[in-house]
Amino acid sequence: MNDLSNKILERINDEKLAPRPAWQFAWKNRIYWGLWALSLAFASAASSAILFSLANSGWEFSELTHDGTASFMLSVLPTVWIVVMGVVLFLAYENYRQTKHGYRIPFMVAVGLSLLGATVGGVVLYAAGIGQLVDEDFGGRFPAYKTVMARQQSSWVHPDRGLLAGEVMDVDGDFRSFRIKSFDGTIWILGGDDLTPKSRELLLRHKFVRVVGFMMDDGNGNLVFKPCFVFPWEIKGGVSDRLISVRMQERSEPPAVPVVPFERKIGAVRSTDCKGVRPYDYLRRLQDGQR
Amino acid sequence: MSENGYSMSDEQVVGSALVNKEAFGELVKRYEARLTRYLHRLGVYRQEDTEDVLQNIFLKTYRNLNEFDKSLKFSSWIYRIAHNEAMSFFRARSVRPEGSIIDDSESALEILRSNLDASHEAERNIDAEHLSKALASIDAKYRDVIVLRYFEEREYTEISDILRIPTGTVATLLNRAKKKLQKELSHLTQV
Repeated sequence: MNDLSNKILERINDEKLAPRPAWQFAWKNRIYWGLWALSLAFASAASSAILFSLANSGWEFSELTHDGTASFMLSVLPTVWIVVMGVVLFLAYENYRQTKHGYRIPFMVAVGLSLLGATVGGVVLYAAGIGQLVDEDFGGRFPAYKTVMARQQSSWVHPDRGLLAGEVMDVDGDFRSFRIKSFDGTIWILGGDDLTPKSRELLLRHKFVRVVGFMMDDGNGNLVFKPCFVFPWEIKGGVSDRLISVRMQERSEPPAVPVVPFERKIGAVRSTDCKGVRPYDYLRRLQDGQR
Repeated sequence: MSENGYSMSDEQVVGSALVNKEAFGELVKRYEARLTRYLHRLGVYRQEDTEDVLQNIFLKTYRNLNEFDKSLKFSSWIYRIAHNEAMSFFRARSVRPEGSIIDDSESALEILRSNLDASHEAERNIDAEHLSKALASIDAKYRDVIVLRYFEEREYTEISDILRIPTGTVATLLNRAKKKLQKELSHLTQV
């Protein structure tokens, strides 16, 4: 034995050192794999929220709700979830790198594979309705975060732009009028004379609807909302219709005064006023495709 | 032990050391000189510092013997520990490696000269002093791969295992390191 060997063995004896048990290292490795899997699960959850946000951004109505493609794209981009996904993917990579042979895989390959895993996981979770839970139940806990449904609801309570959405309260037998409680809690009594047959059908079938129309003078100096098209307010990738309905109702403020504005026109013949709604032909085609 | 030890592979000695700590002395003996040289090349050159760091390396190796992954070479694993200990030493002292790294290997210099693809006569005639200065002036990540590849004569996969980086990254770092070293050498030889 040389000097250093003796010194080392002396220190091992004096300090009563012993090799750490193998199970500690095995567990350390397992913990890193566990943290990697957990990060990937979070990334999948964020991915499902991204898919839910994108699916429910109202692409088909972008021309009505936004001034241009750029402003629409900016408003629907689920930035928060994209950032969350990026952060957890980085954490996934860092944990993977700490596993026994994790360092051997290049950064881009490891992140690419994790991204693929998170996307596949996200699709599965989205299909199971988890995307909505993540966006609303988790994202909704942060006051500064506006869920995709909240954003959609606020952009659809703009009668001045011809947009109204909410819960159908009742429809009279011959469609002369129907009541809608919009998402801000106001109750609207609207005339249904100029509604297309398809709109009437959708009005009866769906509990929540979007109404496209325009504001007009009722002849007495009052502005009234004239409905032209009705579309169902559907949630893609949601948990269930029942749960969604309950949530929306809970969000609505209780109506203070159940009035205004009233669409006064009563008549059996549809006017041509709705022809002025743009893009009329597109809306007709879109409506024909609705179930 | 020594007599048997010489006929045993490092990996077999590790197995023995787990049962009989005296066997660990054999590993210390096998790696003392190599790791001392490696530490010098990394920039730990004062004798007392080298001894301290060496002792830490061997004690850490002993404490973590059960972590040794048999799919690696033992030498890669102990070099990894040595590299980490050297980096901890620099961090604790808040110093970066200084010069006097290269003073012991003419053959390494020769290999490096042939790999630098030097276009100038001056660069082809680099000496240990210039090389030490040039190495000391480049980033640690580049210096590490140069030292491992040309002075410790490690394969890419071994460097990958020692530094815990992908093999592709080793190749990239080495390529960049050579360019940076060449630039530094060219600057030094012009002064």
